[in-house]
Amino acid sequence: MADDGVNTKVEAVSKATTETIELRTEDGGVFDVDKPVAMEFLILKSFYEDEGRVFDKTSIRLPNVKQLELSKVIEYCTRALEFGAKSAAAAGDKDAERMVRQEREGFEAEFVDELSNEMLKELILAVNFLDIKEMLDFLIRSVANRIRNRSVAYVRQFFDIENDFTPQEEDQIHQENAWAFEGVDAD
Amino acid sequence: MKNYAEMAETRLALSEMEAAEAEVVWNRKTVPKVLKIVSTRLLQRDLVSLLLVSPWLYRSLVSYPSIWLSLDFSEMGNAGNRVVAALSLPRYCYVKHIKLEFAQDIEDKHLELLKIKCLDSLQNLECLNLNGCQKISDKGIEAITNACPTLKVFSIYWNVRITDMGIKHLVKNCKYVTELNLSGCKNISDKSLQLVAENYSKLELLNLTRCTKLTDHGLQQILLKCSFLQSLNLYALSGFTDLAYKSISLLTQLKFLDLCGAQNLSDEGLACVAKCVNLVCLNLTWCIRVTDLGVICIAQGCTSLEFLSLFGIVGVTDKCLEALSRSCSNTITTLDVNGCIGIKRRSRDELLHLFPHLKCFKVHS
Repeated sequence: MADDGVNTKVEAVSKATTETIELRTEDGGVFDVDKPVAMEFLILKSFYEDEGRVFDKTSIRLPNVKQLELSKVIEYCTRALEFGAKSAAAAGDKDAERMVRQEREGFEAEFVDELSNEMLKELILAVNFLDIKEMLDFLIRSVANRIRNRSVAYVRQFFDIENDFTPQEEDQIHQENAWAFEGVDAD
Repeated sequence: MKNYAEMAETRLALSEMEAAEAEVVWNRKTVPKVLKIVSTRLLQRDLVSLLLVSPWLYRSLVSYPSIWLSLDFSEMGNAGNRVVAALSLPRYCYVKHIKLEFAQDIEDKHLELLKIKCLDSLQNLECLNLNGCQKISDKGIEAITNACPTLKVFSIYWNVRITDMGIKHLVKNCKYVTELNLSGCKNISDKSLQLVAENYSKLELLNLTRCTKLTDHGLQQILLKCSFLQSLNLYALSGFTDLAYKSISLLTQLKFLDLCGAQNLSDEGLACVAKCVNLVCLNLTWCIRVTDLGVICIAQGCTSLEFLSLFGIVGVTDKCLEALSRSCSNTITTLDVNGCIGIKRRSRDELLHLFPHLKCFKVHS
C-alpha cells in the first residue's frame, strides 16, 4: 500500500466517522485534530473520560504547548497510529512485518534528525505535559543518542542546567569516579 | 449548564499559573526522571558523567538503585584497581552484573581485595564475566566465588590457569549457577564435569569448547544429571565417541547443540541427538562420519530446526536435504552445506527452493 505523506499542517479529515477536536496553542496556532490522535494525549483522554461526557466538537486551549511543537506531536502520533494499524494488518507475515518496521524506523530517524537540541527538549516538555507515553519513550531514546559520549559541559548546556557544584564537591565526585574513565588512573 | 470548553480551560489555566514554578519543578523532578529512563540506553561512561552535571541531579540519580546494577570494565587497562574503586561506592551495593571481559591488569589479588573490602556489595551479584582474564587462577576463583553466593552466570573463557580446583571452589560456594562458560579452559578435566553434574542439576547452559582433556566419562556425568540443559557447546572436542553422544537424548530441553569437529559421531549417535525434539540450532561441521541416515533422523525428529551446519560432510546427499525440506522448510533460516560434495543441487536458488526462508548460507569459514 503506497504511503501518503502526512502534512504537518493537519486539516480536518472529511471522513464520515472521524470526529475532530480543535486545539489552540499558546502562540495562536489552531489545529483540527482527529479524535484518535487526540486521544493519544492522555491529558485530554483522561479529561473526557473523567467527565464521562459524550465527545462533542469543542475548542481546547493548550497553554504549555506552542504551534511548532504541537504540529510535530500531531505528525508523530498520526504516523504512529498508521504504523500500528499496518503492523496489525501485517501480523503473521514476517516479510510484511519487517517492511512496516523498517518504514517506521526510517520515519523516526528522519523525524529526529530534523530536530534541533532545543526542539527536542521543547518536545519532551510538551509531550510530558500532554502525557503521550509512546512518543515520550521515543524522544528519550533520541536524547540518549544525542548525549552519548559527550562532555559534562555539553550535557549541562543541553538540559539547561546550571553547575552549582563547588569546586571541592566537583573534585571529590571526579576522584571517586575516575575509575569509569579511560586514560585516568584509579588509585 | 457548564460549558465543556470552559471546564477544560479552567483545568488547563490552573496549570498555567503554576508554569513558572513548574519549570523549576520540571527541571528537578522531570530531568532526573527523564535521565533515569535515558540511562538504560547510556554507556557506563556517559552515565557516570551525568553525576557531574549538578548536585541535585547527582542526588537524584544515586537514589535510583535500578540504574546502578551493572559494571563494565571490558578491555579497560588497570581493571583490577578500577573494579575495587567502583565497588567501594555505596550506589553499587546491589550490583548484579560485573563484566571484565578482556580487561587487563586484573589478578587474583584484586579478587581477594574485593572479598575483603567489598563483600557487602557482592551479595546480590548474579553474573560475573571473567572472559579472557588470563592472569586469574584457582586462588582468585576461590576468593570471588566465596564472596558471591548468589552467582547464576559464570563465564571465564580462554583461561588456561584454572583447574579442577577452581571448579571445586565454584560448586562449593555458588549453589545457584545456571550458566557456565569454560570455553578454552584447557586444564579442566572430567573431575570438573563430575563436580558440575553433582552440584548443578538445574544447569541450563554449558560451554566446553576446546577443553581437550575431557573424555566420554565426564560428558556422560553431565548428560545424566543436568537434564535441564538448553545449550551445550562441545566445539572442537574430537575425543568424544558415541558412547557419550548417545546420552544426549536425555536432554529433552536442548535447543542449542554445537558438535563441530565431532569426528567420531556416527549416524547412530546422531539418531540419539534427534530425540531432542526442541533443537533449534545444530552444528555438525566436520562431523565426517555422518551420512544421510543420521541427518534424516534429525529431519524427522527436530521439526523446529532453524540453524544447521553440515559443513565439510562429504557423506550426505540431496536425499537428506529433501527430508529436511519436508519437515523443516518453514523454520530453517541458516543452512551451511559448503564442502558437501555429495549434495549436487546446492546452489543458492536450489537451496531457496527447498527452504524458502533461508537467509544465511555460510556458518563455517
